[in-house]
Amino acid sequence: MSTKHPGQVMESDYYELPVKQSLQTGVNDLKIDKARDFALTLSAGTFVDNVICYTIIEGDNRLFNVGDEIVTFDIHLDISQKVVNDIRYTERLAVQFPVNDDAIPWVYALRTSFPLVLHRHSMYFENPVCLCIYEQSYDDLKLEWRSQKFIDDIRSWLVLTSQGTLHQEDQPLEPFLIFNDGKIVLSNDIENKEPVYVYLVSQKGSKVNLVANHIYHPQSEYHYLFLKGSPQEHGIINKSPENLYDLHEFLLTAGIDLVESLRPVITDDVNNRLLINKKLLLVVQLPKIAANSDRIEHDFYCFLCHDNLKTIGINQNFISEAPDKSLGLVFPKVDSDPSKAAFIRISILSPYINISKDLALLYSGNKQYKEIQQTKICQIGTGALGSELFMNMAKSGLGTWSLIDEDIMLPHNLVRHQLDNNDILNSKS
Amino acid sequence: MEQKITFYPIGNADTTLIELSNDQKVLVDYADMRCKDDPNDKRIDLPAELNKVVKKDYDVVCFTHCDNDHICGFSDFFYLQHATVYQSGERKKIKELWVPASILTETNLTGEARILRSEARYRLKNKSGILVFSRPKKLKEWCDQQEDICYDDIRHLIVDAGQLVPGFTLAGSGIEFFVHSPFVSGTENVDRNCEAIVMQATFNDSCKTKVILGSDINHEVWSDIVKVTRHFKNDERLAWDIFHISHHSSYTSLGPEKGVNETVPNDNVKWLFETMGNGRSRIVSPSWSIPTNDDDVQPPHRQAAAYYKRVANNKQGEFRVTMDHPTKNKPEPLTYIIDSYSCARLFIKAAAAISFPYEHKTSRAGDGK
Repeated sequence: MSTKHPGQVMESDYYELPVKQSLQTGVNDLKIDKARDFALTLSAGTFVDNVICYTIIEGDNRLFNVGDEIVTFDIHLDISQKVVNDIRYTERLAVQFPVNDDAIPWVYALRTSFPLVLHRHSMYFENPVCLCIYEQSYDDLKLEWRSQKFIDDIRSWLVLTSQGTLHQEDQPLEPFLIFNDGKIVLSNDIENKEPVYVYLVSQKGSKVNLVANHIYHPQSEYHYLFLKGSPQEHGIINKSPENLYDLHEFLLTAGIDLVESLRPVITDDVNNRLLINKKLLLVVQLPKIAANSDRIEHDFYCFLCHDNLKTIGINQNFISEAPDKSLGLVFPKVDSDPSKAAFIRISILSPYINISKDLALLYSGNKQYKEIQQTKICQIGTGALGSELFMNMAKSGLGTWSLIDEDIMLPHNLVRHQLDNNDILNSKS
Repeated sequence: MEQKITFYPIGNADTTLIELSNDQKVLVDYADMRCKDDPNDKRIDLPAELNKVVKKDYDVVCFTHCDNDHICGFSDFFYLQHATVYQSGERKKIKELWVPASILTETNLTGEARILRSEARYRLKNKSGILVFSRPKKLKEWCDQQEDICYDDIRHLIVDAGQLVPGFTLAGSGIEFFVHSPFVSGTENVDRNCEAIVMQATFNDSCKTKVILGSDINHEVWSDIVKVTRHFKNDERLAWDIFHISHHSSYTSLGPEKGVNETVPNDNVKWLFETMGNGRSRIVSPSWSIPTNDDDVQPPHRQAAAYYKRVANNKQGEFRVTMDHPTKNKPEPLTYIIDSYSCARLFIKAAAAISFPYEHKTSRAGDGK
């Protein structure tokens, strides 16, 4: 008979992972090399108790797959009595090793009262909390992966978080969404300049790669909508939104009524067949105020709806189809119902900001040359050597250039010159 | 600025080392319990461990009482003033010796206790290098019998319960010691001199971290301490962040009955633990691992440990047993670092057994390019 005393830590004080069925296995029976080495390192080390290993035999076919292995353990931490975030002296964690070793091992804090601190991964489930131990990509980390280092890094995540010093100045404040659905490159002035053309560059399975900029593109199949939230102190996204309704709910916290923002977009252009058949691409800017500081961050999030504007319009009662389906659409005067938007699935795209002169300077490691960024430079001669010099400087974001060369590109120049076949018979300068 | 308090894994015995930021070392009890000939004895080699940390002399060595588990082997380790036989080799000197008055007056002592009594008497006669805790009538009587000690001349070497130990201040040394026991009950005129030295140490970090050093006293003495301290409105002197519990997790230090699954403390002890413990506080049991059955009548008792664990959990703190830290197989000294900004934290030795070295990089970026 176990009676629960108030505050006493019982099994129910810990979440279980959303795994349908799993089988407990011995440490040495783990099939995934990384998992086995991790569990052995844990067992051999001190300040770790209760190492238990599982293999998933029925997953959810999303994050938890058959064959994934999970190691749970209690880790003792050198955490101070005085803390900023409520991390306890001993925390129970679970680490999930994907069966194909195709993603970083996920680290979950199982305690139900674990605080919603920064640097978490946003999953499609809210609990347990998934810790974001690394910012680097798994491909980079793989090269020097060591179980002991992984344990040390987990430990250090928890200790720094307890002191509120994990977050560094140059890091985003929102929990990281798991961007699995593709990438989008945004032009750097996208927030305040219209029109924006979005087009597909490549598609692989369900993943899409898009570009959004101001240059007219005939195959623009997406309608671009930019929304900006009011500054928030705390992260509002604790779980990756899966559908338009989830997103609507999240954005309400930031003062954006997503559904109402969509109404004019859809109804104003109801007769514009070109627009109404386009898919919706939402770019949301969520300014965040760092705690105890005046710094404001501008995080961008990009969401792609799987359905076109017409479907969304009908779903939300903004419009209805004409009886003969082929003709125009009519407006009913009925209120919308955001919860119905749960039927509209969305993908999350990782946003990348397009290159600019300033960013080029930063990325090329030439920040210290800022003062000559706008310097006017006249270069005489753009041959094999000159073209290399100019291109490297220009790519690094340096200088405003005037090039002088009377020569033209001829086929034999292609061997050494920076210009390519497209420029044949054009001036070299 | 950091200070440290370390509890040594020596089975059911006490040794606590306090390292102050001004480099002073205060040792409370010394019991070298390990059998050197037994390779399976997991108790730590105390002299070797202490010598790793304390290179020079001890500013204070306090013997809370003269039971074997608090003084065992001390005469092999320390330089004693009273006889040249204890002055050879690399012995560590004791600048100031703290003992309860009972050690001076007790008769029929043998072995190490007798040596300690000789050393204490010698120092007292010299009127230096000693503090005596409490002033029972017996002490005066004993002084009167001696030809070379006059009670009036040694009054300044006596520390009473309810006082701060002279020589240590928060501002100066970064620590102060408040004495709770032994005390002489003023009203009933009862000598409590058989009892051990119990103190509350307060560090000067931002939390004013408080450590109670509980020695071996039982629940009745604890009750008296609580009553007296509350009577004088000194409640704060019983507050604690780290509690070095009394008598190796024996139920007798909590209440009269062992209990079935959990010892029920008497009301005063309950108040001491549940009300006076701060959030995220620690309870340290200087003892063997907690057993799962009741086969051994000796402490630690699992029922008492169950109570301590519950108190620690309620406070989101922890309960640690010296012989289990960090593992049962290889216990190591249990150290709390008292950081002047963020207060007490457990010292965790960097994983030395790394099979392959790796280049350590900060796990998260933010390395300020």
